[in-house]
Amino acid sequence: MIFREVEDRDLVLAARQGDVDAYNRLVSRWEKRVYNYLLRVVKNREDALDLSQETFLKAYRSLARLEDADRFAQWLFRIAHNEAFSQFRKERPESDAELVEPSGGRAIPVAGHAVYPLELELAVESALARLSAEQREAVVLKVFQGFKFEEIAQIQSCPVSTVKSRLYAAFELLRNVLAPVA
Amino acid sequence: MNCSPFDLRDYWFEELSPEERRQVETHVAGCSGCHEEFERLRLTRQALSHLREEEMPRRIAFVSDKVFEPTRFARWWSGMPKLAFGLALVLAVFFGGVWATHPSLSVETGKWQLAFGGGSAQALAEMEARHTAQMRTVEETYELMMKQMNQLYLRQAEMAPASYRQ
Repeated sequence: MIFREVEDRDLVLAARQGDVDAYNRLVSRWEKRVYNYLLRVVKNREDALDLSQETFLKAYRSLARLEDADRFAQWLFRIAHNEAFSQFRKERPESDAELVEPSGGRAIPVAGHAVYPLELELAVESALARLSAEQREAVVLKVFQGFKFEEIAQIQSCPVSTVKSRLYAAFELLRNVLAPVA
Repeated sequence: MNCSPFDLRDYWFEELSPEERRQVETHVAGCSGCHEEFERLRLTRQALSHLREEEMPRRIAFVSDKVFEPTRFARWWSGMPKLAFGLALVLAVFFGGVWATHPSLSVETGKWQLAFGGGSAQALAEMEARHTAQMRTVEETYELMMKQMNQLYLRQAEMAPASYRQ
């Protein structure tokens, strides 16, 4: 007997028809990824949790407006993006700046050295914190969530070329911090 | 900069097709400069992958939970179409009835103006003149009646018997 995992599309269509359990399954399926995405962007656990809740609430209320049920993930992350940057604007209007120069701290040697996983994780956290909010978001969507350039462009509501420049600049900075020339 | 046929960063961003990836790997194997850059990017990508996903402090509320209930505004707004339809229906019945019965209404502007204290001086003067003329007619009629009654009285006295006059 062949079991096929229920696709997001099927759950979206069922939820649109009023199937509450179908939407609950979507929540279960995506909550951890949305939470971790928001956590990396806003860098605060409580805020990330509140924004995650708000994201799923707004998604539920506007599910009928989702044109393509196959693109639920991008649409959901787009809502999460709006929530996160709406909070940025409320708290820190200056955070709209496109690029944030590195703070100039000394590089954390990783390559060629034996580092414990916790140390490496801290090094990555520190490196990510040096990026602008938009760069950090692009890295999270690309590296941790696995979205394509076009999908990230839809989520961030910007041209693909902007996504690429954000990612390339971010990776350049991360490379200098995380993998310095031995 | 590097001389790879495709951007080495796109290789680690997994944006290249299998054929493009193969071309990059072949090039990097024979180009020391690109190989060094390729290795640094690989270490960066590897370091990023050590960042683990965190468990959520608590689960997201489900649709059946209270947080998903519509707000008071949402409930009021959802009832608005029914309210608007009902109001439109009442207005349609009212104006339909007015149109069907064609009531004959006439309005005399001067009278309405006087009634609400907003009449012109000219309209007021005309009204007073009409009133004076009516009163004069009444007085003339009264005087005529009194004259006729006196004449009648005198005629009766002349016709009465002598004993009566004494």
